Amino acid sequence: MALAIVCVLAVVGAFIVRLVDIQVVQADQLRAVAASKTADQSTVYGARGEIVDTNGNVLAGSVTRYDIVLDPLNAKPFTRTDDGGASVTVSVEQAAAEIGAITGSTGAEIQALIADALAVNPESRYAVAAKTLDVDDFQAVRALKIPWVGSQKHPGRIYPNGAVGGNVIGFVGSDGTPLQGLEQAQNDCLASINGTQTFKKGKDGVILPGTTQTIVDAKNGGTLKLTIDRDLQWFAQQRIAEQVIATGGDSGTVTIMDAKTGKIRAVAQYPSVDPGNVGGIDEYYRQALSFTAPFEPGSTFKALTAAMLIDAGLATPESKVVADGWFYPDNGARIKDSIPHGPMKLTLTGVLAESSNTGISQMGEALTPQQRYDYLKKFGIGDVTAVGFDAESGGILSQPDVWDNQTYYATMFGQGLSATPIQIASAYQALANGGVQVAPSLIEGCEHDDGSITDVPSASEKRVVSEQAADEVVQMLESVVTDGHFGDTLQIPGYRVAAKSGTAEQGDGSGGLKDTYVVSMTGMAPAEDPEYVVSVHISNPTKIRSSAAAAPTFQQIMTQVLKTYRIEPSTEPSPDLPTTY
Amino acid sequence: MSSPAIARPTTAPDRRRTPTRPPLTAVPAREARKSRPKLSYALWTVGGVGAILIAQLLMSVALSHGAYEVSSLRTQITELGWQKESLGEQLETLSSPQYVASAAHDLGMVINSSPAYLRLSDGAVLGQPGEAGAASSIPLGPSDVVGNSAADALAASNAPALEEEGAPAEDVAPTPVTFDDGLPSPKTH
Repeated sequence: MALAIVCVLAVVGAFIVRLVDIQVVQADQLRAVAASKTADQSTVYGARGEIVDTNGNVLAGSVTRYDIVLDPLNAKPFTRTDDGGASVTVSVEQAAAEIGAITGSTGAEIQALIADALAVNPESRYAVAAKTLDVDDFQAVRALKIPWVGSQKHPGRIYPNGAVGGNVIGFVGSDGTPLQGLEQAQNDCLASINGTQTFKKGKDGVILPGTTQTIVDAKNGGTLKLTIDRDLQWFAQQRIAEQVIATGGDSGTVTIMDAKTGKIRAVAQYPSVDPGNVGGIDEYYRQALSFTAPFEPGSTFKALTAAMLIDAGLATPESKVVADGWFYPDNGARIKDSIPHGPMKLTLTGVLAESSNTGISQMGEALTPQQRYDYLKKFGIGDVTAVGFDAESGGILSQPDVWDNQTYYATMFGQGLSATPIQIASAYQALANGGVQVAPSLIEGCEHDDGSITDVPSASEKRVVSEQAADEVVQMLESVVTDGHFGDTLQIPGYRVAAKSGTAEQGDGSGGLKDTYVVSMTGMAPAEDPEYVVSVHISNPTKIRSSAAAAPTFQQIMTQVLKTYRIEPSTEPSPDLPTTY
Repeated sequence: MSSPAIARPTTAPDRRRTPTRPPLTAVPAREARKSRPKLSYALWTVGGVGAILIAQLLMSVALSHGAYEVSSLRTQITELGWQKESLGEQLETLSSPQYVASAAHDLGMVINSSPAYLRLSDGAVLGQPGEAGAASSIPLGPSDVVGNSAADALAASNAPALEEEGAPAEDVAPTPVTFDDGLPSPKTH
């Protein structure tokens, strides 16, 4: 009897010990093992924000890309059931060839991949057969139903418009890291946050209903809206590309700016990077030259000097000067005009129309260097613009006390200082807008998922010169089109156009001057109430070395701008200010 | 199952009178009650349990069937999502200016270098209309100077399909334009 009780107690005791062992001692471990068989978790990708133009056209978009991975250990012939229900055995060789046909490699290469993976590790279960396939190719691979082929999806980036705006948009690396341009500078707006979700699944991998739990919410990036107009941007890029090629130049830029708001509608350059094919272009041209590459602007700055003179009450459009081919001032500087000529009796208007260095030098003497420096500063020269583009340059404008005798005069006609195309366009924007400069902008704002908009630039305004001075300069610049050297190529039927050429000497880096120039044409239309500023620059053209190289491109692009924005043709003729006396 | 039997006095006690005690009697035998439980209770209980079990089984079958249905519909959503994404990518690439310009060029279209407008409200011609012929405008140069790798890839992958779809639909008759309400006026300048 006692023995029976002992036995029972022993058995009960054993059960209790085991129970405690399972329920308490090993509980966490066993629960984890159980969970690992039924529970799983996955990453929920948040989409990186789009970059869109002012009309909402996608310039940079987020897509899903797929890597195709192989399971080398299990790469064996398999049975496939075709649509008719018949079963066929597919050899590894055939399967490899089928994969290769989609991913753009040969079957032999795929097989080599498997062999290599097994050579390194005979138990290998992982080899990448192709990277960043688009959804169509991925589906094609999937439809092969090869049991030892899987996929990994990850976010990708697409640039449906190619090189249009590529210089400002920038690009991301193959792993999604932003590397250049707005992709990098505006990453705070665009970046997304990946989330995590957990779920329970049955033996066959089917997710059990009601078990999906979001651990971390995925957050999509914001939409970055630019002031750029995609179609204008393309047109400007196309035209500047054609002209750079035709004139044998190195590169060219075009800036289109709204004269009333300072919004940049196009900032084109050639060569320009296609963010979808970054390797296709020299590294130097992957940056936005209009912001990062200042140059001595040349005669386009004569318009600024004229505005200063009128604003300071020291000249009118009819002010008179005798401009010779050469001008040797007392301080020892030597000024010459680009085309040799005898004495010409020019008004200030005529000085601009003829682009006379000697004429503007004599008239500009009325201003002190400090006055001119202060005016140039007010025009935004020497300072980075409000756009604040990545690696943007402010150009070079040295203090007037270090100007040498030549620089004293050269700064009157845009030499001895440097400016970026954006600064030049912005200075002309002030002239076009009655003397009030509106801070240039490239970004409209960043729209977040919840509809809130941030990063809207403040359109700060400042008066640079009086309204009268600005308006009279615009009227004088009309004479460049009606009366100047390039009139025929600059005129747009039905519209009053004001423009100024520039053919700027460039240092060759060793104290001398290059025999090629940076040629420019900057202007606005319609001149009676300018709506848009267009600025065209071509570096070192060799077939046409003067600003005649930039003139037709300016005219084509300005015409397109007027058409795009449905600007009404002018009703009054140009004032035709006298250029001579 | 028993309730106490209460002997009640036949008359209420009268204090003024000498109380008279009623003669004691044995508690009357209660009516014999059925001590056996009713069979129907058992049947109900067992039946109820059975019904619950069957209902639970059916629900679990339905639920797991639903899980497969949900899973298959999810797959369908995924596949349609892929299709949408693929078509969206194509659409964005096809609407790129390079593609549109080169298609326009193939149709023989040229750029009008002499913009002019017809104001519908009064029929006025604004600007100086000029002939938009090849001679009056500078034709666009080669369309590959502004590269578009996305469009190139798309053109390479489905050139035949696009050619087929791109065939002009000549059968479509233009919608007749009527001006019963007067000339339409532009909403913008």
